[in-house]
Amino acid sequence: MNTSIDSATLRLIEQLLSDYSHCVDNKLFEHWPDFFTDECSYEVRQAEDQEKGYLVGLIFDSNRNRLLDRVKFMREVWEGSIEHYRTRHVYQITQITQSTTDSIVSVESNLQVTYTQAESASAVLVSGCYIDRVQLDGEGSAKFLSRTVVLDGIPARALNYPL
Amino acid sequence: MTTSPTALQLKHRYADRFGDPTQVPKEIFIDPDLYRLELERIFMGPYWHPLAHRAELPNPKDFKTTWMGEAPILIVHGEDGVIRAFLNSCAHRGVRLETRTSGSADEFQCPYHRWVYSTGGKLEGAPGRREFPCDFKNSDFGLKTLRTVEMAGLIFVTADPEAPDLDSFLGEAGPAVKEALIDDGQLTLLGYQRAIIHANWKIYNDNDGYHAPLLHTAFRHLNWQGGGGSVGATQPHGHVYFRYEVSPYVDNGFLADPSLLSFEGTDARGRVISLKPLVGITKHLDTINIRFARPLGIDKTEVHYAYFGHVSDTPEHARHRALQASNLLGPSGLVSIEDVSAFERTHQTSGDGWVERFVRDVGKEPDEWTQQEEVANTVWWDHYRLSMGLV
Repeated sequence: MNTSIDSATLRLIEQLLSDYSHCVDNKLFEHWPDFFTDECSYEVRQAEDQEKGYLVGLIFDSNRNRLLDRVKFMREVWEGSIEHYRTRHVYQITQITQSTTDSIVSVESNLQVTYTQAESASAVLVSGCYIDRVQLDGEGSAKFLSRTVVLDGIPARALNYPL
Repeated sequence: MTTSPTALQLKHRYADRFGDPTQVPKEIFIDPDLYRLELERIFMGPYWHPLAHRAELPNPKDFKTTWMGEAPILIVHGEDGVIRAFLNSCAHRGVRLETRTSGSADEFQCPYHRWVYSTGGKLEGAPGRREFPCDFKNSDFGLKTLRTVEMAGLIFVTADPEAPDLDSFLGEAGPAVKEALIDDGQLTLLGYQRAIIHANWKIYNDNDGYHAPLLHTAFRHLNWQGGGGSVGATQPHGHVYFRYEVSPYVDNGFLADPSLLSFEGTDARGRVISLKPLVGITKHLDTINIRFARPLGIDKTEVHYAYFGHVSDTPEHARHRALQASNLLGPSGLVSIEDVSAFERTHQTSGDGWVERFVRDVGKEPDEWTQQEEVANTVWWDHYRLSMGLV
């Protein structure tokens, strides 16, 4: 971990990541877009595709309006026609870097998510990492400029919800 | 066709269960004996399996590995420009030769005994050669080459010398496939999505037109149906093909970012083709998609969604295609996510001893079928029960 990060910034980052995790595990998706800045992206990609530079992702939300639409899909479109499952996100920060003049912090974290469907044993949904660019506004707020979830392999089932 | 003891047992097992192709006995989705016979008669049998598109391996020495049923396949763009398909198995002791999913290679070397094969599949060398039998010939130990035919860049492969010629196999679905691949097949690869669907491969393969406006409530929210057109099914294999003109989505305010459904190209031909046994090809709005798939045993199907642009695309148009591809027709896309769920819930009832029944447009002549039909699938079911010797 980069030692140039001051403890107040580190606390902000940790709060952002844990609040996000709480939001998605508890399916408080109305609040999910609020973790992102106005100009933002949220992507889920497989590592091999990321390395090869392919454009297509499993999820590719290139702006805030797409995040709002995703919430609408989950709440209004898919509600009666997809299988629900519970998740638990477990992550660990592995890298934080910040240039001295910049209000943008780059954060990488390892990620594992379990899922549990009705009547089913719990299992691992994905293993991978978050690659985040976090915008600090200087007034004690931190939001994702971009959050890319890089998956090590194929998810154990189709992803209904953002990771 | 073989009449192995298993095949005879299966015929007996299903003799009273599958007399009507509109009534499918659900135990066929969880029968391990039947699955072994499917691998033999369908995946290694006289069917043409599209396993790659030239755009995935555009340069000489490029390769892709994949599976045909449970057989490992190595597809290589030869230095002579020809794309060939081999069993991805060393001709010596059977080690899987190449384990990367794609890349570029001057040659293929088996790590076990360092046998080396050319990109054309010829055995180039083997250590300890002087100790081999004196009649050993390299030409007897090349990679096992499968028949391939290329159409609009799509590489069709079969393991069976008895397979009919490709045009007869595809029938009327052939022109629809070409149209979906922009006629010339001059495509560029935009990327992949991979998914594991917890359903038997035959359920994944049995999607219909009837469900579209009903399961997918998005169409109602958007006040948009995508386009009206015609449907057909080929004899005898039951490839199903939809042809329609894309009707642009008129922004009704439902989406904050309507570019998900915007049509920015000039080619308004919409095509949805289900090639039997297990490949789907879709050209919808600006998305060009080939869904390669393989069974993972009786209860899972792995799907590789490959997305393409055209060589004439501007970078902006290619990005638009990729954005649409990612969020519309993939395993977590606005529309297709619900299909995945329907397949899985269908599979979950396979043990109830009952039948699936097809009713919409059943009894009508093919020229009377509507786009919201499900009768077209029964052509395949009729073919399936006959080719598997169940009746």
